[in-house]
Amino acid sequence: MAFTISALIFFASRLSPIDPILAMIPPDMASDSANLAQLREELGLNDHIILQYLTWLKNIATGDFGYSLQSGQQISEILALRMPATLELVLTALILSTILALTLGLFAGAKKGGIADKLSRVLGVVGIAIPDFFIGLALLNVFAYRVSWLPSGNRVAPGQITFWDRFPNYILPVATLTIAMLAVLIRYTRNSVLDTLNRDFVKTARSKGVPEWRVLYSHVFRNSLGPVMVLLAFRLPLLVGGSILVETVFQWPGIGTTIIAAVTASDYPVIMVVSMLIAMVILVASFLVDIVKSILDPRVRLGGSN
Amino acid sequence: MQKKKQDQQSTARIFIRNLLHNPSGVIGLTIISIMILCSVFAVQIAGVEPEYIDPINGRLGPSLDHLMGTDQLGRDMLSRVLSGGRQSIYVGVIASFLANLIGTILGATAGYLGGKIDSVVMRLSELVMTFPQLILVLIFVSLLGQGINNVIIVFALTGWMTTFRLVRGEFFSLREEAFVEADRAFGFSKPRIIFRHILPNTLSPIVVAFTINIAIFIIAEAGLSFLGLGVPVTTPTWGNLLIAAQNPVVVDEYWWLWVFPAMSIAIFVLGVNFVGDGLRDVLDPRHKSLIAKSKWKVALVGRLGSKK
Amino acid sequence: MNQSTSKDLILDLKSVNVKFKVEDDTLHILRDVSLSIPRGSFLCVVGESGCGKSVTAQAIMQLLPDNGEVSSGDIYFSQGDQVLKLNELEKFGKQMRDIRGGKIGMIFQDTLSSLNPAHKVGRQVAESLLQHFPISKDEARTRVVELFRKLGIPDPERRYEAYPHEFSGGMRQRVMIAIATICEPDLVIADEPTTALDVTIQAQIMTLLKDLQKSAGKTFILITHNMALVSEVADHVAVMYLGRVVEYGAVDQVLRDPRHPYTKALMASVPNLDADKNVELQTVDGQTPSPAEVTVGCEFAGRCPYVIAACREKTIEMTRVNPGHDVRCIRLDANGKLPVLTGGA
Repeated sequence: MAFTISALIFFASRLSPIDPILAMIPPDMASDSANLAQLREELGLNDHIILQYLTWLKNIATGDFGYSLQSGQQISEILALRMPATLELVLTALILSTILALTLGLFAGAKKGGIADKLSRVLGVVGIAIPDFFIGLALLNVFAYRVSWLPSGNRVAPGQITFWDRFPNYILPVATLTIAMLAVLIRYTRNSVLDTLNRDFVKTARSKGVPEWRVLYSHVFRNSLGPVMVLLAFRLPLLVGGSILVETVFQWPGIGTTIIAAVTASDYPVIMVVSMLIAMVILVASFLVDIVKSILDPRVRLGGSN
Repeated sequence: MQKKKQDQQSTARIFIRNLLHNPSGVIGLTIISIMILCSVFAVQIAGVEPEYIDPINGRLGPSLDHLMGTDQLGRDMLSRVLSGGRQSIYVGVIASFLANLIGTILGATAGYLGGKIDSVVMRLSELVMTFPQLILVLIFVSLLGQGINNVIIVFALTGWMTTFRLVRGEFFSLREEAFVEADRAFGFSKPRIIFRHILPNTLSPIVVAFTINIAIFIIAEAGLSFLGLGVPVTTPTWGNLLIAAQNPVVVDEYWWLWVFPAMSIAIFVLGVNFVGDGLRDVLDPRHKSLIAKSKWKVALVGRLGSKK
Repeated sequence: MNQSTSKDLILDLKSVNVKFKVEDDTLHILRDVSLSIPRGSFLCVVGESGCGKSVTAQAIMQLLPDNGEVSSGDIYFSQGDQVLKLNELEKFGKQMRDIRGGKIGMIFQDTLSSLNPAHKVGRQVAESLLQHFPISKDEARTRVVELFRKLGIPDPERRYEAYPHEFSGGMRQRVMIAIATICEPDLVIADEPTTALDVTIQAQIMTLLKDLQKSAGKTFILITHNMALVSEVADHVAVMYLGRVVEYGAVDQVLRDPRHPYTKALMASVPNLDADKNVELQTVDGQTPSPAEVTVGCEFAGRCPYVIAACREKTIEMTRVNPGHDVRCIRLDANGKLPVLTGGA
């Protein structure tokens, strides 16, 4: 899987009609063909494409990600600087939205027509229709400009030393991502809980005289989690995608803004490495989800054997 | 199976009648129709061309003259939002159609033939799904360049997996059905069995996926354009109008420049989702059905009453 | 307390009506179901699927789906010296919960879906025990293992730790029985416990149930559509059709001498090893109508060979044909016999 992705990323980038070399030199220098050829040679752009791919792969595997065409900076340096910013956002939003969605979804499913149910249905319908970044803009407008409670963006402002200094900076971007993620997740958890409530073993549990809260907690919740976990794995790419928009809205110096800048400037080495990295992160994440799933469902754990 | 056959017998008229009796379907259809009409007659409604520049009246708030205010060049926002809808809806519908076409063809083929072809296509869909769509789109855009048609192609290429999976799943279960066995016994060709006989039975998930994809693509267009990488800025789309909001001053002081386009997206997408829900109710026999109500209810009671 | 409820009746249903709300309509699923079940008896409730057998069980347990409710009638359950009106207890309240599992155990049909796939079977049985008795987890475990052994589950200590999907259908049904009986309830309701099982396993399970009933003096309600089973285990039979009890009596009365046209047809459709091979098995003509369709008169009228106009005019009442043998049919003569049919019915 990882190899296929890497190959796809690499060859796709080479299909581009834009010569990467043109993106990095001023237009008046482009006429100097001797100079161009030399640059090309130095950057290895003249080698056979398979060789280029293998070299690239080898470099990546050894941690040498190459240089940004745009800034000449080492890509590993850029990543070291930017990756934590994105991870902070995405992971916090992931955890928050999962906890919120599971709680709300469980209550919504357990008591159809109750407050939690109504709330989650409205959230589910409206949340899906509103673009992520609009949520961000709206939050920004209200909380940063109208009432000025929270900063409008940037991860670290001058003078903010401790975590608690920086804490307010996180609230809006994390809230935006969480809300964006929440809609689908709640809807799904609620449906999953409703499905589970209709399963026969819930009736069995009730026939034992087990109190409702225990039925919900011990029987319904656990069996509803499996499908939600699968969805979570599928939503992860979207969350990463969403973080690109949210980072742009809040001028967050993360991977998202990096890749936007790279795409705008046709900075292929950066695009390739970042895509590769994101793919890897998502592969690892879905692997983790599989593990969690097998813990939840003994049938998966034993590979369905009898 | 019986239900499926009855579905087939039911005419388009029953289907439309049922949809018109479905509350969310009606609300959704109303929203969508009104918005499409408005965007088609954008200039007539607003009274101004979307590109008419009037710098003296730049960045005016909403007023009776300009219901949605004006932008920095004094262009009327109402006119721009309405005509922007034209492009956004166009992108959403065409891209969704193409994505569904790809998904359906691949899903039908893979689902019916199974085996190697199936596992290859399945892998491919997993591959595309693993990847954040937005990043995929960004890569494609950087390769193909910007332009409304490129955006459509990119969406189609990155958005076919849902339909593919649905259709493939349906085919998996349908290919073992008696009527397909019979087709094979008659010696019908594979394409004929796949596309003439089985495919009509899988129409409902395809139709539902079509509407949902429209919603997804309209939102995706907005995001992409907001980043400045979608449809070229010279064409107003809902997403392009939102670019203004990249500027903090606009977010702070000129709210009408981004609230109205964003609201338009939200309302339209809401409408599409309503139609999707309505279609699902009407088309999916497991939810509600085209079959006479009482029979369905008995089936339901049978399920509730005696276990199986 | 109600005078007519005698202490030796463990369960007494008095014209219980159950209605389901489906979309905008109300479906009348149980119609005036009355059943009196003496302590220590073995009652079989038979009928086609959809006739309301399972709904009856769910109504007793107060486990009807959310869209269903007991709209009128009473369900009396005698517990020690007390007689409780089950339908007036709060559905998930403490009192009802103490009865569920503690005083009335329930065995379900589809064991794979009725057992929680994510929990070990031992824990699922122990859950019931821990709910009703103030004992430690270790004690509960010992008792569960003991019951497993008694129920013929091999290697019970190890099987305690297993998950439902690791069991065969028959073994899962034994687990189900363990869940229903671990708290020594007075009444056990078994809802088609053997339908999903092989014939040989069916026999084992039925023997097990019968032994339980005899040795522990428990009362059993067995819901089934298998007439052959009925003759083996039951002492009383209630035949249900479309939400109504159409015939009720001792097993010999109902099976050897069925009076209701529906029961007759049902009996005629049971294959009999002794029967003349040239005599064709009879089937009940027509399909079970929907509960929404029949409104007035006898529910069976549409399929009944004895039908006359009067059958469709008003609700048919129960007639006593013999002591303890009630039939819901107006075509019976003074001797409680159906008229002889002339010509090919």
